[in-house]
Amino acid sequence: MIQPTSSVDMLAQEAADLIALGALRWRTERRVPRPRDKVPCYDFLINRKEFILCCHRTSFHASTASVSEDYVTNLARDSLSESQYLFLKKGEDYELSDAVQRYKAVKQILSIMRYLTRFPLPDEV
Amino acid sequence: MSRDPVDIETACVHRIQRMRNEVDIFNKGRENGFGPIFHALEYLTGFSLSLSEWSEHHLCRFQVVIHGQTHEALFPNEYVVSDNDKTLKAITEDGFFVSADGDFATPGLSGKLHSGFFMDLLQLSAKAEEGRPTSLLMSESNNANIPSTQKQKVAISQALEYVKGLSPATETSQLLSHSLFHNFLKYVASMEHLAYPELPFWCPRYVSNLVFLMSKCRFRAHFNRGSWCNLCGSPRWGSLYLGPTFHKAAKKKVDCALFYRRTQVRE
Repeated sequence: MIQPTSSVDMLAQEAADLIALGALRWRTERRVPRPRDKVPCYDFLINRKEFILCCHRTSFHASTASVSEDYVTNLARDSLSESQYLFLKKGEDYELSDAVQRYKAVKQILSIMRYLTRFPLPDEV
Repeated sequence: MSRDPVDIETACVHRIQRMRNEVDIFNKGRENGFGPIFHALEYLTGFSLSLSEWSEHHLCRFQVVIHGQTHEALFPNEYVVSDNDKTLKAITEDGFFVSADGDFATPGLSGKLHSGFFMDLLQLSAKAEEGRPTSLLMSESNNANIPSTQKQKVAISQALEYVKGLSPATETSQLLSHSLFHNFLKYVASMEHLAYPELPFWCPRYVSNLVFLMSKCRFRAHFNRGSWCNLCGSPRWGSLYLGPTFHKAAKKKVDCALFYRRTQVRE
């Protein structure tokens, strides 16, 4: 198991994960259409945004990035433009052994999952 | 990350600009110039590592800008769960947010859906203490006249003392940490489903073969051909998955993926 030597390395690995998810998404989208009715959260991942959850001992945080098709394509060609950045958003760290932070962590997970599953949709619920 | 997120973002952008200038200077007068990533693959030692070993150099060359420790929501405001939410209330009533003051054994043995989470927490919180029992001893002969309920309590108490003595080694604590988080997600997913049974049930699943490797001559091919191991089956999507530490755990699959890519590139 890798133990990140610093938070920068940890963020670098998270960036790698998010880019890989993005690359996977665009590759998958072209080849395998996903059934939208059955797996709305997959559809979300494929079409919009990547999320990862990272845990270390008893704490965790979420990170997210929008990995666009342009970004992945230009990355593959090693031709990212000067202003073409991948913005990685790192969420707060939550200590799960602490009851107050556990409450906040549950709220965040519920919010992320409802966002991923697009619940509640104003026009559907 | 204690610095101001704006400072971090600005620093990232400046670093990327400096890097690009350096590569431009390097390329001056060359017929076939290097892009920032090919340049790094050629001249930066250790750049072609697996993604679980990425560092600051990779952030820079891949032009990643960090918004550190953001207080902004990671999702639109309309999805922020309110304190009056049905699921959140049910979880509160279930005792999940009761302050345990380090006593994770009681909720761990409660028999509720969150028991597994608290048992993991108990073990992760354990510190090595001398004098604790190193094995689980149950003496029947001494307890012959004790009522059975009392016996159970004694047995549980002994078991807990034993568990507390099992201070996890570093590698074990990583596994425990994953277990803790998996139990946490399962619990939240279950409570959500109980509160809203008519909605699709989500449950934590993990991307087990999300690996890729850059090498000097195959970088382009990897991205175009995909970044995972097809020998392990088609990509298994997870709505959520555990972060960087996971890749080393899947080392066998990483090797498998590397082999596959080499084969594929030759084709």
